[in-house]
Amino acid sequence: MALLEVKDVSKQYGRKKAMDHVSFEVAAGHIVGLIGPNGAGKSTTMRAITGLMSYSSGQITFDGQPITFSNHQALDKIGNLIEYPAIYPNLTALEHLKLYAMDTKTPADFQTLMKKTQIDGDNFGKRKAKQFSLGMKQRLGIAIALIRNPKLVILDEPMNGLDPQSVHDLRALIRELADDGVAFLISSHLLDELQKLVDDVVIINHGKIIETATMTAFFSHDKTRWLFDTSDNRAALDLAKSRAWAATLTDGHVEIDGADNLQQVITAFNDAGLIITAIQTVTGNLEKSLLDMLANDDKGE
Amino acid sequence: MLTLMKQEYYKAVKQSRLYIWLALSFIFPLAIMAVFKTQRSGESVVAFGQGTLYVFLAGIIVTALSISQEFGFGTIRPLLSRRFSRGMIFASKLLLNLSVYLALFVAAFLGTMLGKLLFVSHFDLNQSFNAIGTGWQVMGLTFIATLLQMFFIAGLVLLITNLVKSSGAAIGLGVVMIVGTPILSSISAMLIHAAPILKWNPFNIYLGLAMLGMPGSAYKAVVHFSQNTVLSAYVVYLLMMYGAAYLIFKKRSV
Repeated sequence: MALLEVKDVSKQYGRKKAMDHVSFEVAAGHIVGLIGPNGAGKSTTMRAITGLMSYSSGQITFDGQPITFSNHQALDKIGNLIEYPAIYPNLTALEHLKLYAMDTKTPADFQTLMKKTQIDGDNFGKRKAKQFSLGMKQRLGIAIALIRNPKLVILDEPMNGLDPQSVHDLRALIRELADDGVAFLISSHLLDELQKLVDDVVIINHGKIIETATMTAFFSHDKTRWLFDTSDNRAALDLAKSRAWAATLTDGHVEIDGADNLQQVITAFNDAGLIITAIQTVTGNLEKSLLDMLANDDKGE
Repeated sequence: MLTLMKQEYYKAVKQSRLYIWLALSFIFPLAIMAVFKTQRSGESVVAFGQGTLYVFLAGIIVTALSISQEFGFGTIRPLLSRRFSRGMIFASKLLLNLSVYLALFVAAFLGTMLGKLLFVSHFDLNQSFNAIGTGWQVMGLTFIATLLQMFFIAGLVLLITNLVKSSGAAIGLGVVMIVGTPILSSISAMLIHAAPILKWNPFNIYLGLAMLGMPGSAYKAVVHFSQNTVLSAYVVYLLMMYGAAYLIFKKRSV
């Protein structure tokens, strides 16, 4: 059963439709990526879910309880980091956690959370947040989103300002929490990172949901492609085309995505006397798929 | 509500600014009495060594920052995206502001008492001071009148802050209201001269608060109302200003 249900929600600013009959669900233990270009309606959707903004029609429920602009008791079990971390410059990291933990009877263990979100080092200690770097503030923002042991965590661009190691560790933490049943709704422009993390995707453009799918289903229409380096790439390309495979020369490699299987291609090249020096498998790419999808959506308008 | 109050107090006590304000509130009357020999008098003691002016200014700044700061820090979103209603959040801000006003008064009172001990030791607060009563009673009335005026200006400041989401304009207006009494008095007089109904203008009511305790006939000649009418109009203005500030706060998308 879905933990968060967004049903047919619309929001209009003047003539602009910021949310146009938006519907999707987030189930417990699932990590859902909310993706789309700038101004597509991602932050607006997140703000509507967190009771920060009114919506003209539709319904948002969390754990069966409605969430509206004026009624948001259900937010007790939702943590969020929307757009930028909410930091008081005169408080330390620990003081922030203490402050936000006052909201709940069952906060997360401070020390464990600080360790997991890497805000326990000497860099933090007794330093006030006004001295923190962007990455440090971001990590603290994530810790704040998690301090109340939420059932759902909404993260808007959580990887902003984080170094590669921190991004890796954050991914591991989110996966660990999701395995424990916490649901996540995450938006990010770092699609490669998102692709490694999310179970489901919700794609939004011009305030409208244009696709909701599991990651597996999302890429199911993509046939696996291969990049070949051979002793004669031009001859390899001609051969592929003569077999009616969709083949192109991409960055000096021969890219083939119309063949039934890899063995078929290797055999054909060997028979033609071409020496294969390297093969690279190219799986589904969220960024490419998203761009294709948005281009098609924009054409359709 | 208790949780919200705890959080507001927690944020306040962690700001070094609060302690600076309180320290200055303590030092202000003391310094006035130490520096100006003319202020070493009973009149100065019952007026908190003119510390009410400082308390007023600090209170206005506290009020203006109480909400605008949350916008400035970007903390308004987590503040509002919780199970608490906006009414409760607004009320918790008001209660914190009230607590700070009172703390500022306590600090000013302590500074005044130390100043009295050091520079005006001959003055006895238990003795009859003027037509109103003893020194203590006059001091109490000064406290109440200043507090009522603070609520009035704070309501206006809160309204402006909520409208423009910035403290600058609100603080500016608050300061003008505090130090520009002669200007306000002139504006009010002109308005009343132009149309007697304009005696209900907020400046006149505000000025009437500052004169509470004055003999009835003199009061009426200046303010054009009895003290009870001024207090009733004051309550209506207060409800309007705080009500409008709350409505803006309640309706705002962030």
